[in-house]
Amino acid sequence: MPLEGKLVILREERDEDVPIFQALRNNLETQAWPKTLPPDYTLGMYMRRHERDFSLDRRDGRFAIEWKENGACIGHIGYSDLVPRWSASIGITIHQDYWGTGAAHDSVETLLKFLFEELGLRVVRLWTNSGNPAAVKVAQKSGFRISARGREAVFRKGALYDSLVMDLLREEYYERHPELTDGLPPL
Amino acid sequence: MELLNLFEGQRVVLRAFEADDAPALHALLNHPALAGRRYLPNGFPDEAPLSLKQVQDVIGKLGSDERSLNVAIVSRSDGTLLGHGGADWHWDPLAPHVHVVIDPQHWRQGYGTESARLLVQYVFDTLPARAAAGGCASWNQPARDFARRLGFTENGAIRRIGLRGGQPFDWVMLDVLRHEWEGGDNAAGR
Repeated sequence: MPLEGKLVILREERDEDVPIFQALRNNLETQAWPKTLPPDYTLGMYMRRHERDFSLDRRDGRFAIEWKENGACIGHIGYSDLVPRWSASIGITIHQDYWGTGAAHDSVETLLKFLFEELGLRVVRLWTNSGNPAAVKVAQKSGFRISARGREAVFRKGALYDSLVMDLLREEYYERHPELTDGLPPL
Repeated sequence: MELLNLFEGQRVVLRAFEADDAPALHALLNHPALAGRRYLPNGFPDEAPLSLKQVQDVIGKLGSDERSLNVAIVSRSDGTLLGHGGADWHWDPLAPHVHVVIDPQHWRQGYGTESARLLVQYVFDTLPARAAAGGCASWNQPARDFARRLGFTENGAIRRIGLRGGQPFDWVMLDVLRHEWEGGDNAAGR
């Protein structure tokens, strides 16, 4: 069963999604990494990344974001660096046609619900930079706050920016979601 | 132009690890005061006792590559292993991460300061770095004071990075910009 939000569905990545992911990677506006990568990723390179081995001991999760209204794949979201029952870092990429639609916020909220309610994490983090105010705004809308920065650690679009670490504690998440009850006692 | 030896201070030498450093490094890393602040490669416990075999593996992994430097810190006078240190720019040479670990038996004698100055200077001398970065656990006040004395600034802390004594702790992010370093006391003595 996929993870369902109000506007989007987070489901497994499929072969037919790969050209979309390749295009997102090859677009400097949507590749999302503060360390800008060359926009030269081939479909073959992406297919090899797409094919993963089965494992029951996972430290990451990757989902395609499907827009409920038309069923289109509009980006991807995932988590990595999982420390079981403790922490993970999330990342998201959305096609520019869907910026400002609420897709990013709904995707983050849908993933957060899985991370806190199912994986029982105590904190969720993300890395971005001060040259990406849209990403900061999306994260803040879900309750993330900037907790630390690395000064002048990022260069993109011809300028230096600070790297930013944003995080959201478990209790902060549940405070924002009174409809949910945290069944995990504090430490 | 004067050629500087980037790896020798007045009292310490930074050199590559050798296989026969393992017994001394084994004793050093297992010192209880270093639990939680060993700065070892991923995959090695930061708190639990380490076997000699694990330490031999650590030495195997501490080899430098084109995007990192890992060194033994030894006494210039008698070659005693004092600690280990390094710099890492796998993510981005704009802001390499620097670390120093000194054997608690040799704390408060200036070895850490001298070693850190060499490593930060190495970063600014050999890389297009805007900043030298570092980090330490929020409970590690001596490390925070040490970094501040070197000219580093605290830029917040990644919250809830781990557990110690049953309580969550944070990871303090630190850095010093190139112009701050060059204008400070550390580089002035070159």
